[in-house]
Order: sequence, then C-alpha cells, then structure tokens
Amino acid sequence: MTTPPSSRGRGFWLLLGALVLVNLTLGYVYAPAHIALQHPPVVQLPNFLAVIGVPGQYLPGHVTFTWLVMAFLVIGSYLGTKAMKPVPGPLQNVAEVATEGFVGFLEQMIGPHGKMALPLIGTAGLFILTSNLLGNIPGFQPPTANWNTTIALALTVFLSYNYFGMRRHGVGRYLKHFAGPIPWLAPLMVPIELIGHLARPVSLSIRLFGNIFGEESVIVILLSLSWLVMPYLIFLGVMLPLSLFTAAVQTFVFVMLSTVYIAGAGEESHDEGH
Amino acid sequence: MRMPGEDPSVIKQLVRLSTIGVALVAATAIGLAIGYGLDRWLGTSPWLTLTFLLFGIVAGFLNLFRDVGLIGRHD
Amino acid sequence: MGRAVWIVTALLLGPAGAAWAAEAGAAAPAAGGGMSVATASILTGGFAMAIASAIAALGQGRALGAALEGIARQPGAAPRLQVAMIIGLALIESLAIYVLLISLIIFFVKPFGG
Repeated sequence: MTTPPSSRGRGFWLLLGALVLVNLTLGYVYAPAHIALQHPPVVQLPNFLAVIGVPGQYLPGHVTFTWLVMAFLVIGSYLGTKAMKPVPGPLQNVAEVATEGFVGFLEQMIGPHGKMALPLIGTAGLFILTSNLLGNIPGFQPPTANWNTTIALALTVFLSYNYFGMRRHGVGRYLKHFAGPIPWLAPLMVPIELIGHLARPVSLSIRLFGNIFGEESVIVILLSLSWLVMPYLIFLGVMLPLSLFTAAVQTFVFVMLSTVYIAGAGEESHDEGH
Repeated sequence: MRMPGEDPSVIKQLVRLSTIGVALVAATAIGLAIGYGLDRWLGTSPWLTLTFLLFGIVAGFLNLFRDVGLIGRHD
Repeated sequence: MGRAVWIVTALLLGPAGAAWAAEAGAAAPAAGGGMSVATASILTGGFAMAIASAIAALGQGRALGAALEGIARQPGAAPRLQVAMIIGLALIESLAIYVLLISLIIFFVKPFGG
C-alpha cells in the first residue's frame, strides 16, 4: 500500500458526509420526499407502456428505479473497462476490485470451475447493493423494496442453480437426486424434496424484501411524525447508518446463499460411488 | 460437505443463522399453499391441504437438519 | 441536577399522559360498543407479533446464555455446543416467524377486511 494513511478510506468518509449533508438539507426541505413509498418518488416516468395494457398514469416506482440502477451499472462498467491501463485509474480500480472479490469468493465456495457463475452472482450482487443503497437518497425508492424485484432475482438464481446442476451431472442423474436414498420411498420423498427446494427462492426473496421494505417503512413512519427535530435526528443517527449497514449485509447474505446453492447443486457426485 | 459443528467464519455462521429460521417457515408455508391450491383446483378439501402441510413441515425440518449437518446429504 | 432532571421529565410526560387518557376515554365507548371485525383483526395482528417477538427473544436469550455458559466452562466442546445452540435458536425463531406469517396475512391479504 503506497497510499499515505491519512488519505486511505477518505473517499468513503467523503461519500458518507455528502449523504448526511444531502439528507440534512434536502431532507429538511423535502421530508415528505423520503416517504417515497407512499408519496410519488422524485423521478417518475410517464407510462409509455399503456398500449400493452399497463395501468396507471406513471410507471410503477420500482420499474423506474430498476432501470435507473441498470443504467448506472451499465454506464459505470462501460466507463470502467473502456481504456484499460496497466496502472488502473479509479474507476477501473473499482471494477477490478469488485471482479477479483467475486471471482475469489466463487472459487473458494464452488471450486475451480466457479467462474461460470460469475455473471449471475456478480450482477446480482452489484444490482442488489446499488438498489439497496438507493433508498438513502431523499426522493428515491429502492427497487428491492418490492417483492416483485426480489422474487425475480430469487427465481433466476433458482433456475440457474438447477441448470448448473443439470449441466454438470446430466438431467437424469440430477433429477434422480430428488428421489432420496431409499428407492421405494421415492413417491414420498419427491414432494418433500421439491417443497424444500422451492423454499429456497421464497426465503431468499422474502428475506431481502422484508429487510429493505421494513427499513423503508420505519423511515417513512419516523419522518411522517410531525416535523420535530427529534425524529429527524433519530433518522440521521440511527436509521441512516442502520440502512447502509443492512444494505451491505443483505447483499452479502443473498450472494452467499446463492453461491452455496450453486455449490450444493454441483457437488453431489462425490458420494454416488459410480 | 461439512462436519457437524466445524467452525466456519463468523460471517458464515451469521448467514446460516439468519437463514434457517425463515427456511423452516417458508417450507411449511409453501406446503400449505400448494395443498390449498391443489384442493381448490381438485375440490378434495381438506385432505390435500393437510397432506401437503405435513410434507411442508417435514421438508422444513429435513432442510434444517441437513443445513446444520446432523443429517448427511445422502444417508 | 438530579432533581431538575426529574422535574423536567415529569413536565414533559404530564401532557403526554393527559393526551393518552383522553384518547383512551374516547376509544372506550367505541370499543365497548362494537369494534368491527376489521379493527379487531388489525389490533390482533399488531399485538400478536409484539407478544411473539418478546417471548421468543426471552427464550432465545436463555438458550444463548446456557450455551455460552457451557462453552465458557469447557471450550473444547464448543463446536458441539454451537450446533445445538443454532438448532435451538432456529426452532424458537421459527415460532415467531409463524406469527409473523399470520400478521402479514392479516395486514396484506386482509381476509377480514381492514
């Protein structure tokens, strides 16, 4: 590390200070704007999909903010990998750190061929992290505070880990794992195994949704108390750090569980004995 | 994959802890939902509901014990 | 200094207590007269989750305390104790989550109105 200690991590504190400052100023003026789950969010796209039959005057908030997160990630990754230099600039450095982190984690959990899951897990992790953090800006609404977003992610992970398992073991052998150890118990074991497997995307999606939506709900209720200083200070001192922390933790939990499921789907061959 | 009680890092234990409670309830709820849906479709109330509820409970506990390491993957 | 803190607290809580009493007085005739099923279901949903969380937390605290005491007494047995503790915590937590499921159904699926 050649960076002097006084400037290491300074960017993080700068961002945090900026966030607190934005909340102090914008939040004071636009306290209702934080209540974006019940009031309209700051950014709203008119409903240009009404021809297909999408109801309402505006597109739903979670759709708009999903597109915002997608645009942010796509533009960010394009800029980060545009003109790659051996000594990386800041954006390329961030991209490299993120990729190396994900690849290392995947290879540690899944094994040497763990990189095949990198597009799925990396994208899911970055998307969830950005979406969760988006809710801390006044007037923005995290798209993961809606069960639709999280169950889309969880179902994708569910289909993916089954696909990886089938690709590794062949469809027949992978499906035979559902029958359990004793052959004549199969009619009993198949529904049980199926329900157990279906519980995974449900629990993944509900955990993420519940945490982020609950966080937002508490902030909404806290700030919709009559405009005294105390709720706002509680928000700044307690809920804002908690919200940032929960965003990171929930991302990590989702990524880790998805990786564990993929690893579990791929490793069932070693005790078959043939 | 892991022996019962082998000590993974603190973060992994936290993740595991926050998962298995919800997984138990999720399995039960899914069993109930499947049973209820099938009952409404086939009209054999309430037997299918109860059967699938039982399946869901068993699945939940099976996953719980497998996750903690008390039962191996194939035993 | 201490007495000043007590006086200020009493002054702050006094009007709050009066407001509570007035609100309870207004709600009592309505509650006695006939709360609708929707209102009752919402009250039940809220209180059920509170009670379930409280008692589950108590139970988990006892389990955790016992496990920690065992580990402190015999650090070599820590892995086995951890496994048992995690199973116990998960089972207790699942009871509270069952109640959460019912509360969520009452609040969002609204089977009784509300």
